[in-house]
Amino acid sequence: MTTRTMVVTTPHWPLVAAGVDATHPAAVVVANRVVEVTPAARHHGVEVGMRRRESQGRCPSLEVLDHDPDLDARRFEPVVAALETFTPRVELLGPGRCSFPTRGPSRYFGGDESLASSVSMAVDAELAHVLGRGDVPFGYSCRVGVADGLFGASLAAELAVAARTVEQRIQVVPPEGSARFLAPVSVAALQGWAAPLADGEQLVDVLWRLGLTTLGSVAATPEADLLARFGNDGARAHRLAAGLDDRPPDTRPVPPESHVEAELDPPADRVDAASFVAKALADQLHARLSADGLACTRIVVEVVTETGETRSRVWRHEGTLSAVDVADRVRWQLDGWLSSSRRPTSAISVLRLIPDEVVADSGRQLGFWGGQRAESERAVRALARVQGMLGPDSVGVPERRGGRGVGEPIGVVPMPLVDLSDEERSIDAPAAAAPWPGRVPAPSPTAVFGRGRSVQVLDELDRAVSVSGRGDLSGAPAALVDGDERHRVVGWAGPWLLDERWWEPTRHHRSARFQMATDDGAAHLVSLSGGRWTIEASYD
Amino acid sequence: MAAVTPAANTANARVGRGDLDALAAATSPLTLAAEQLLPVDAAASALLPGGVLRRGMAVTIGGRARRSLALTLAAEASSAGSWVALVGVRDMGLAAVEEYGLSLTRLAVIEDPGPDWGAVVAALIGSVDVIITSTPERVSSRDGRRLAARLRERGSVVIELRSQRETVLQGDVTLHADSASWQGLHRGHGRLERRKVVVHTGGRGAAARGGRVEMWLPSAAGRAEVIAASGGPGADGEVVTYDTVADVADLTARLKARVEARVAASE
Repeated sequence: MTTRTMVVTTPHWPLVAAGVDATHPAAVVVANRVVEVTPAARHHGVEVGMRRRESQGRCPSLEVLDHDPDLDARRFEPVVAALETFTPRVELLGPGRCSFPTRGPSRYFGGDESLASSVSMAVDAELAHVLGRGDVPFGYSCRVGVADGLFGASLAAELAVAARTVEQRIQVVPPEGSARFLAPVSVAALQGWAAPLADGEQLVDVLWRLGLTTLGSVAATPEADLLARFGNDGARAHRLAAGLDDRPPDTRPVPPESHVEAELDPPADRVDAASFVAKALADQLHARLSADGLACTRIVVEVVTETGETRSRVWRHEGTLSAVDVADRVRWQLDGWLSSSRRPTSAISVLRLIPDEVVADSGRQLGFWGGQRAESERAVRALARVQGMLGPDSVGVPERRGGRGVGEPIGVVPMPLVDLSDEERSIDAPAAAAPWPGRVPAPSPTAVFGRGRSVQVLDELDRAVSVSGRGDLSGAPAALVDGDERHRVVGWAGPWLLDERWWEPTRHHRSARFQMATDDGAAHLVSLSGGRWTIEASYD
Repeated sequence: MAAVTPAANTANARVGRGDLDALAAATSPLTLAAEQLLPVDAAASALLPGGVLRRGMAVTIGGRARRSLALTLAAEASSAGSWVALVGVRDMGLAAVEEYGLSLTRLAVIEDPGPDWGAVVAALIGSVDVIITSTPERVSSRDGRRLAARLRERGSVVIELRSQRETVLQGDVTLHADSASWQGLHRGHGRLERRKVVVHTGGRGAAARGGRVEMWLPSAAGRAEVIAASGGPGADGEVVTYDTVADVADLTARLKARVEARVAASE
């Protein structure tokens, strides 16, 4: 039995939340990639997926905004509050997206169509408020999809996002008509946010190559075959494609007393104070559930103030909610409430997390990889922030280039030139795989000086050591004089002669290299080139 | 707490140390603790209190072989998927970074943070798991305290390479290698092969007891390898076995006495 569901989305939400006008060229960027553009920017040729520099090249007047999930969530709160006048059962899927079951409200408002148009009017009024203007540009106005089940409704809403006319902003799939509606849709929909699959991307890739390119063809394939070939994901994909059921089929009864709550003493009137408690609370809930082998897919966050005002929100996640996810959502909710026009009149005294829907935590692997990817994204975002602080060339990432000099095999390239979001990117430049005979053997030095530090190398009689063209030494090195410091050489090896690029007069480089260990426990790579001794690198 | 039932206190129910460890492992919140720890290899665990690299920890490294020690601590976490940032560590030899076992695909180099050192480290804490940094000459102690607080809250690990006397973060763990000797070089032949260093560990809390670890850094295989360790929390200095429940009670009493003595001394 599927639940008739309405999905409400607000297109280009990060831009709306940032208050950017549709006629102003602007783009939202995550880790150097454009993720949202205004129609004006698209007109200039800026596309989603471009690098920051490329987009600025297409449109020099482009305003580049860093993505701020907190802002998105905070600004979305009034929209959710507007939806709550229709139904108390609003589920937040993320900033810019929510859903609710329509059975009750549809009866009250006289059918899905009229409910949808009332909802879209109410949400548009809030959007106009967020944008601070009288009307909402068509590209930003809210889109509504209604169908049996969340998956169908989400695809209907996606269709509405692509709409070109006002009437198409609302897409209602007739009851029992989900299967027919879904049949011509591409299987790529299975890797969207609404499909609760462990690895949608890979599944879609294989289905595509097998020639099952539409959801209709997936639905026509026997479920048992899909289960045998793809495991749980296959069976689930079949159910989704047939418009049958989108809830995780294996939901478990929520264990009694599994909610956690914390009393804030003193009550918190600032978001950071409350969200600090929320993090600990989320950890506690996570530990409690995972002790039972469960993971949470839907959670109710309830906040109570000193004077008894209560605000609760249902947050839902395809996949499972980790402790960090939960803490984020609590922060978003608090942020939204405390900064809205209907902010509470007193400080927050109780925080409560109630798991609403749990599944057996079989997706350990998903959590591991997903968590890893999220961690990596967070690191890349932080590095982008540092780069914003210090300048475009300040943050570097390694690149393997190959070469004989000590600093040459691995160099550093500025971060903007590399796509860090690609997990499997190669750091090898074409020449890296070449053998490069004449390299200094491992272990490699931990400090490599770009220009080298001038030193003197003396023999037993304090004469400067020199090397002849054939590699003969004038005397054994006995002392290394570095500025004011003089150290006895306790061991040395060399000279290792290097004669590179003799065919190019300007880049010709000729040197004799030595490894030297001194009596203070240090070891250096010392080279003589053009009669000048330098410390090229140190083994710290 | 009546954790020990009278039935256990019979002659043939002997509580060994292994049993106690197993009990501790069984009752501790498993996922939670694992999330707070970063993986380390055997050599790094000998240098750390309890043998673990806990998120929110600040490690200060002084003396010789600072960079090699820092890389040893970060190696396992990096290869297991954590990001590592080098902040203000000048002229780092990246080939050595790879040889110590760090992943170059998850490494960022911020060579010159300039006067914004504090802001840069603060921005990375919580997002990048391990931050290896040389602190600049002038950093106010207030900045240091703020960073330390942020570090504990957000759960990264900062490894500070100390060049001057003052440390900024007052590490939870301090490592100091005061002697180093390279092997493999002779007078005119050979090559640098391995280096023996003696690391003195210390710090606050569990690390305060101090210890001495003798290790190859790097060994002939290119990574760190412990030769001998004594004292210290990560090492097997004092081997104590607790056989009976009475012994456990005795241990509790002794610990209590020690804590009281320390409180009295501090007053």
